[in-house]
Amino acid sequence: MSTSGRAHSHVPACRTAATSRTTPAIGPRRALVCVALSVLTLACGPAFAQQDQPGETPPAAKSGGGLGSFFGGLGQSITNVVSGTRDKPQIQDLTPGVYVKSNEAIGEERDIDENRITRGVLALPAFTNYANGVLDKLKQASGFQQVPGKVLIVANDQMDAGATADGNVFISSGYLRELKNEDQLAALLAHELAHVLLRHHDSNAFTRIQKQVSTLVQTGIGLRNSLDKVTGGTASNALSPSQKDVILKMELLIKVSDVALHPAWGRRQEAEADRLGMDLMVKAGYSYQEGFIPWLEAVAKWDAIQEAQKTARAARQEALMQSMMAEGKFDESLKQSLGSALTEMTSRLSASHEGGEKRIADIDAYFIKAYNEKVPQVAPTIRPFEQVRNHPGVLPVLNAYSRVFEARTLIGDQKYAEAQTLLKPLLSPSSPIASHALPNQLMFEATRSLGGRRDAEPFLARSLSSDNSVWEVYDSAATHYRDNGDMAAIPRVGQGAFQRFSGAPSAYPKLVALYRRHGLTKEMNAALSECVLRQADKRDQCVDAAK
Amino acid sequence: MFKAKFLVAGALLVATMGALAQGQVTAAMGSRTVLKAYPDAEGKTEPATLNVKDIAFPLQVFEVSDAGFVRVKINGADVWLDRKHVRMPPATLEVSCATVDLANAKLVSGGIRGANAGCK
Repeated sequence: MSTSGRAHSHVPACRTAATSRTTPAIGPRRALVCVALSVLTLACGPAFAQQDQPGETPPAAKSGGGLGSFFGGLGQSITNVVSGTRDKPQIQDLTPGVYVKSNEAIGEERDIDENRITRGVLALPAFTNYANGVLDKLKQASGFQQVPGKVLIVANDQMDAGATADGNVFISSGYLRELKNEDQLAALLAHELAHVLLRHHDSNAFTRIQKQVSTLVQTGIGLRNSLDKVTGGTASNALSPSQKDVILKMELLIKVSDVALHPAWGRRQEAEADRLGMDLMVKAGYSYQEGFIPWLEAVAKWDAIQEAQKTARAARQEALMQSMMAEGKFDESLKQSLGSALTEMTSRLSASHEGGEKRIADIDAYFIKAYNEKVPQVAPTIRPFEQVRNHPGVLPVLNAYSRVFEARTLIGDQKYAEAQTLLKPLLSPSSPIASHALPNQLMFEATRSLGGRRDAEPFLARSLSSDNSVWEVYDSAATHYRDNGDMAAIPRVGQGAFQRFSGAPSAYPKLVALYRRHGLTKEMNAALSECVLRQADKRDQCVDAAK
Repeated sequence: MFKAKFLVAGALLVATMGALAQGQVTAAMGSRTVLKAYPDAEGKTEPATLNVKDIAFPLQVFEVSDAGFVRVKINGADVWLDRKHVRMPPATLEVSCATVDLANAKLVSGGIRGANAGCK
């Protein structure tokens, strides 16, 4: 039996409010009850789940969708995390069958467009074909059929990877440099695939629904007040103090979810994905010691670098406070100190990943307890991996993009001539990225900023016609039309961009920002309204974009 | 004479570089308090048991066997440790914060390591 029906059935009022397009006037009391029920559902989820399947993490294929698997696995997962390990491989909890996609999925192609907007997707077919072969092996090892998704590379020189509810796995170009063999690639992909198989994205529904409810309650209260005004009731459609209080409380709960609860689930999910990831790669015939461990070691190193940078920032902050104290600026120093402490606390609470060091310790405990320290001795697959990474269609592209990122930083620092110098060889006919959108868009910006408006146009045209478009191209196009006094063209550019990226969630805040920058208030408000009603998890970004 | 010294120094340098390329053992894995030290590269012979607190980390790795053991020197003696039981972090990373895509900061989503989290 699916657990999702149970979980949902306890919040009927919220479900109605969250899914209905015609918003009823929701009173303050009902709104609070609704939010309280959402929180109660979270608290009671494990209990419900354990009634169904005591002591087991329900497999994705059994869950049927929604929040079911998320709540279903919570109880046992917390026990696992608290006790540090399990005594049998997690893969044994999975029941082979047809994979049921997460309700949070937005469609595979739209999902790719979402990542085109937020990260920039690089076309590296030589590598992605190879990586998809590895992913297929891991999917096969899982026992599930019809697991969706493919591997894509995003333009980011750091160690960054993630899976989406649609099953797509995005790996940064930086990761491609860091991985040393196919087994390490398999470790990374297995970890990301585990998130998909365990339907971890279902947990996003909780905060999304909270935001939807809050937005609809606000709309509902406003509507009721307007109706009261029309029917001769209260004289204003402004919120009363009690209504304001309700909305403030709802928003506070959302903040708590965003900053503390959701990241805490994230940390639990990471531990689960590490364990199932290890199981998958071992079952698929990859090396634990040459794949999984070195991958986690690199993650730990990266985390240590980040931590060192954070410590350096804190030291600078401390020095600043000391200097203020010395100058007698006690109040300001205190304010700085409090601000710094708050930032630190928020940062720690909202960290969705455990540090690499703890993850290594956890996986070793799992290796001891669930595997009795025995895994097959497998030689790592090095040469085929190196061949594909050094392929003319891969490494030169990665290297060229490193220069592109440098050029982008230079443009951000208004060093346009230096950026031009850096970009010029990247756009020569022999360059592997001469037709790519991003370098052309950056060259357009650098050239335009140096006064060469006409010279810049071909770069804009080339970036617009590129297959691997990025949103920034459309921002540049809007600026180009404004510079030429053609304001009427800007809404067309905005709509063109929105359609180009399939109306993916992140297109909403980008569109709002584009209209705001060019003073198109009517269009901006329309996009903002649509965003808050249709893309609840982008609501805050849209509101910020409108400021 | 000078040439011989030069050759010896060169050979030592090559050997050192080779050892460095193998990396270092920096600690025991997880919360292990003892490590098994094998006399052979395949872990087939009865090992000695060493207390982790008695080992002076880091240990230079001189060799890695096909069976997944690493040769190190402990108290002057060559021993083989199981690669799965020890920490061998990379000395450096290829990635850096030098080429950060700042435009895409703060884009953390479910189950995903935050883009550029380390360079903000």
